[in-house]
Amino acid sequence: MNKGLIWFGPISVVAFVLILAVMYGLVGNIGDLGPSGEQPEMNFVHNVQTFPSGVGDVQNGQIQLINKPSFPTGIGNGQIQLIKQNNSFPAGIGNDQIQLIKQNQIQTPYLGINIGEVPEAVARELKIPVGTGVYVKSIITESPSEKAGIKTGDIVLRFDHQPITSHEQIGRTLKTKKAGDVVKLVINRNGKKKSFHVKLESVPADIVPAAAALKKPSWMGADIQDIDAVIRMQFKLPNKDGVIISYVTPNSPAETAGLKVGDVIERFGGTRIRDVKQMRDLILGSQSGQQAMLTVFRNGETLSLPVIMGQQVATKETIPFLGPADMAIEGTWIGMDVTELLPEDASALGLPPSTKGILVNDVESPPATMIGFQTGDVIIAINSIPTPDMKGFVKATEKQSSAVVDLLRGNRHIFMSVPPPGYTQQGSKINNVIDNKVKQVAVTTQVNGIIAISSESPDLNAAIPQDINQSPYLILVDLNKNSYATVSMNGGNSLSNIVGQYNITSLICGNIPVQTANNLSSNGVFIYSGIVGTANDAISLYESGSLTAAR
Amino acid sequence: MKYAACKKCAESVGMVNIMGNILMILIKGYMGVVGRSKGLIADAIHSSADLLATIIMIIGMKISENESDERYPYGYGKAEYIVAILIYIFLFVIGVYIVYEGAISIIYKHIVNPCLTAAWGAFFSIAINELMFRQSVCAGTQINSPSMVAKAWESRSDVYSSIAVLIGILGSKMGFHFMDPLAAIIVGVIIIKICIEMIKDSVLNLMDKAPDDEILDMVNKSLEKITSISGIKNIFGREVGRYYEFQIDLYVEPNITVSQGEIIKREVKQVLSNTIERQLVIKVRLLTEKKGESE
Repeated sequence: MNKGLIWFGPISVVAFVLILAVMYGLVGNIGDLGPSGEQPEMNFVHNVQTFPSGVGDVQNGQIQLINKPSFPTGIGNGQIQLIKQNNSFPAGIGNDQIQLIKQNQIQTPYLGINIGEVPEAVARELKIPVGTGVYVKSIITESPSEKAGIKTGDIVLRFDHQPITSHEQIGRTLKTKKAGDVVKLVINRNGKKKSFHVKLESVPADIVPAAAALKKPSWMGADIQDIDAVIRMQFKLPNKDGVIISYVTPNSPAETAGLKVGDVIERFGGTRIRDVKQMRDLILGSQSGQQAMLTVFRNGETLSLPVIMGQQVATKETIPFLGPADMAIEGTWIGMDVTELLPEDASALGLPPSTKGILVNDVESPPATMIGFQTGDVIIAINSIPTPDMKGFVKATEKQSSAVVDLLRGNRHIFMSVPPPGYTQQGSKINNVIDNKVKQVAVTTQVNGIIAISSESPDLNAAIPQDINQSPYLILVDLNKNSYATVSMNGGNSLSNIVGQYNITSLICGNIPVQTANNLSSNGVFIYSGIVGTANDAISLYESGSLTAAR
Repeated sequence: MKYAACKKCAESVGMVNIMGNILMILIKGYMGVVGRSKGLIADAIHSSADLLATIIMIIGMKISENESDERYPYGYGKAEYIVAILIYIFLFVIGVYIVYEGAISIIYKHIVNPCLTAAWGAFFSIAINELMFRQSVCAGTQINSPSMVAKAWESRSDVYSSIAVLIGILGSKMGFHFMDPLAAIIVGVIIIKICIEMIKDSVLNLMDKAPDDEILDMVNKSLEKITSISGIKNIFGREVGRYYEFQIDLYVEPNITVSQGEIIKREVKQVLSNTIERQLVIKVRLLTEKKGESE
């Protein structure tokens, strides 16, 4: 026993010394690792800069091409060819140009590096004067450059004995070379100068898949949305952090991982998710095949689901086209005309013919316009109550002050939040001057109604119905007393009765039958018809004198 | 002795040194790696070399305590030297590597940019070394042990390498990036020097080198005081582990009895163990001036 202890001492010290020696060798390199270690992030930052917002799906190369007509030949050959392969690239955008470049490339030898400006941080770290050298952003596998030993993060200082200041310069020099020529590159790698001899080759045939593998963005396959107050209420979420999944693409990494519609992604790896943009950036920044641990909030529980990022398979684009809706059963809701979705409509929208739902035919007035409904949306559920037909739709919309509408747009699921009247989607009360100015009073008090506004609901923020015959309420506003009252038009209260009873002098409404208008006009009531908007809007318009009475 | 506690303090010196060294190695190793300082890592290796020397000494003691057996009738004392040679060859290689790497870093202008953590590491090392030195000197003086004081002064040189490292780190921080590797090279050279010395000592001991002349002189002088000896033929000595082994051939009067001879032998052993501090194994042969021997 004692003997074992005796030997333990020196052996452990020797082992420790060995470890230290290894570390000693590494120390010089730790500094070196700096720039190349940071490099993916810089690349990422670079990407963000070149990406116009909202085109996250478009591949990097395409954007560069669009931005730079003078794209140098021989650089990133792969991407350019990739564009040609990509059928979804919109026709008409520089197709000829791409062809031209491609023809050029047949003669130009191939270097196989993707280069760009030296990131500022790297330049500072390596003390390279601004404007010298170009940065190797990536290397195409099995390319001459890779064979020669050039690495991502290198800075090309000299190319074919000439100092390099821009990447166009390399392209120009490359044009004068042919496959088989040997070019000398002087490179700054982590502060050390190194020279490489690259034997140029002609562009290999299999460069396209290689480049595709290099550049295709990673993809998770879940549609995500920011969480607003209404969604939060509807899904009973504790807070507005994270993003909610509105749709999971079949056969996508997200589906494989077990993500479901309604899940809230709170963390991506260790990163707390704030909004959709951040999440999208994280997904785009990760590698395909990389595993990410998602922290998901589902039904009051927090789960951890690993997702292995994949690559998007091409999806066919759907062209929305609306057939005539004559046969449909029509309805209206919050300023939209809706019909039952017919199989023809479904196929026209690119949806499976068996899709059941309510089709939005027309979005004409607030709040629907404000919220962002579009013609061609298919409502399939409201507050998780399915709306396969008009009956279900009516039932679902009957008693809803606020709602989360699950709708299909294109082939995406979208959650649309409908705030309660008078509130925004973020849950704050709409602040309106008139709202403060005009106070609601009971209808029995001495309101000598000067203006009557037809309204969807007893609220100044409610929309004016399209047709006065469908108006459930009249809002009576006395601008002299800054007060208003509401009167229900249901239950035999005819319009002319109300007008007579409350001494109404003006009527603001949507469409009004000519007969009715004539009757009222003859009683001395001014008719302002065809008004779209809320009662508040109407009051403002009336006060500013921009309404013209019909005769 | 000034205080009673001094004895206890002196007894703890060895343990404190070992513990202090271990602590320093850990601190310097960790901070060197975290703080990216070549010099500090090299210094940690240097401290490891010191620690190994102490450990080897302890092992040597333990081993030489083992009884000799049939296979090794002379005991296991020399195993210590073999272990020492192996370990110091290893450290020698490491030292060369340190120098080589440091030189490469300087020649190729690697950017070695240690952070202040490393400077703290060097600072702690200096502080701990200084404290240990003070304890050794104080205790050594109090219990009147010149060897302890001498050893303390010897180990004080360790501080210099730490100071060099600290300067190197601060210099690197100021932008002279070659200074940290330079400090590492200096430490590496020190390590190589230690290794060469230790290997040399071990090899010589393995070859049964005679003890230092001072010790032989001391033996000679003390033997001269014994009147019953008529002359000294030769004194062979060697170091085995922590023992000195002496083979002493003495001339005596030819007509003494065996029991008188035994008394002389005992006297010689007694005198020598009084003069030399280390443990001794003494074999005495008594010879007559002309011929014949008694054993």
